Amino acid sequence: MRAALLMICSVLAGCAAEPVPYHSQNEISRGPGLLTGAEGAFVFRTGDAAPRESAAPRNAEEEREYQEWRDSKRRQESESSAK
Amino acid sequence: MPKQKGALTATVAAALLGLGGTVQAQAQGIEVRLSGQVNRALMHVDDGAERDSFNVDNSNSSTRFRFNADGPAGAGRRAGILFEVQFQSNPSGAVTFADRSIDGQLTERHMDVFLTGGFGTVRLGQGDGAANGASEVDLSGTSLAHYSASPDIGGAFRYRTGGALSGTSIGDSISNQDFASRYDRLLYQTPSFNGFIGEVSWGHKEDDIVELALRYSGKIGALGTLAGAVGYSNIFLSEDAPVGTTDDKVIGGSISWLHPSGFNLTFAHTARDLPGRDGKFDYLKAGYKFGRHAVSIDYGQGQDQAASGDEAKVYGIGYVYTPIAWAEIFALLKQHSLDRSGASFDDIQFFMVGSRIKF
Repeated sequence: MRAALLMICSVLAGCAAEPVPYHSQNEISRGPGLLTGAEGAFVFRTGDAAPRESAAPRNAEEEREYQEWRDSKRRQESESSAK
Repeated sequence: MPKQKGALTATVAAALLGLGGTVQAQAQGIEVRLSGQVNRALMHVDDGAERDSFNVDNSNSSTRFRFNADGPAGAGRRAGILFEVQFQSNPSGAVTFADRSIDGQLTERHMDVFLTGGFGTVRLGQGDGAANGASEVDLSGTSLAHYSASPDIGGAFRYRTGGALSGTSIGDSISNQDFASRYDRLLYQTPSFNGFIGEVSWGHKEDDIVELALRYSGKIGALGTLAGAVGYSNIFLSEDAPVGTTDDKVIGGSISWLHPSGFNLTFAHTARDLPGRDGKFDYLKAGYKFGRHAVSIDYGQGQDQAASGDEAKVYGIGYVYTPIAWAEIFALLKQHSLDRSGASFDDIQFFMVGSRIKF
């Protein structure tokens, strides 16, 4: 068991695996929110604080969800402005 | 241990005093974020003699809100706080036929300060221990419906034998034994080395706790994404603990693989030192993600947890639909059973459907 674990770790550390952050689905998601929009949080910034990477989706699935949500929002806005 | 405590406390105090000066000097550019979610469900339960429906808060991912803030602390470091509490009315893991309505209570999850930089991250306060969640790594996309902690849904229901309620609940018999959970601790997390992160924490609930964990998460080319963790926890029982009891030690972990096709597999195993026996837990889940949908089947088995010789099982099928990025709809069908020598228990079935909305 320990040998297998060590072998797996060595292979993963040595190969060209690309690290990606793991985010449990049981935690608050990092995507957009109903009231908070694309940021996914009510954000208050002071001084020279710039929007940080943490506001953005962290993995491919969240990125896809975010893009879909953003596209649908744009469609809604363009439809409402056309009226 | 008392000497270690003294040295550790002095080190932490010195580090925070130093940090205080740095933050005061650069108290600008702070970002404050407020976010949260509501997660409600309808749950139907049948324990073989009684059946009823419940309006619950899904304990797989409870209703909660979070307040976090951080800012530059010099030399590329950032310092900040994380404050997160949950507010559950009728928690799905606590309701029973005798107690269908449980008033909401504000309960702590995270209240800590942290400093992060090239050296890693140090956290002080209430929050995840180093190994918390190490038996719950899951890439299936259906954790909202079911995951290794099956007692989060219906854990308080007791098995019936001969029509009468026994003293053994689902939670007693098939816990995933996920280490020491959250507590007041000092935690150090290493930077990521090719996707590997090490963690160590020291703290206490009633008794002192030490935890270690090694976590991994990465994309392995055409094979997809792999995530996993191994953990160890030891709760050192106090000197006035009953004779015959032992330190509460847990070792184990979990691993989850998501193929680019959407097919995924998850496995977890833990073993816990209990007086006179080892409580064991095994969990296997197979799933498929396609578009906005994720579906999975799972099987869990707890051995020798409530009593020596016990074998508790859970079978389930879960589904999560994500129509929009901030809303999910989920459904779960599962059955719990308990085998014990000399006793016959009725199975307990659950059906749950609900929605989580992030605000």
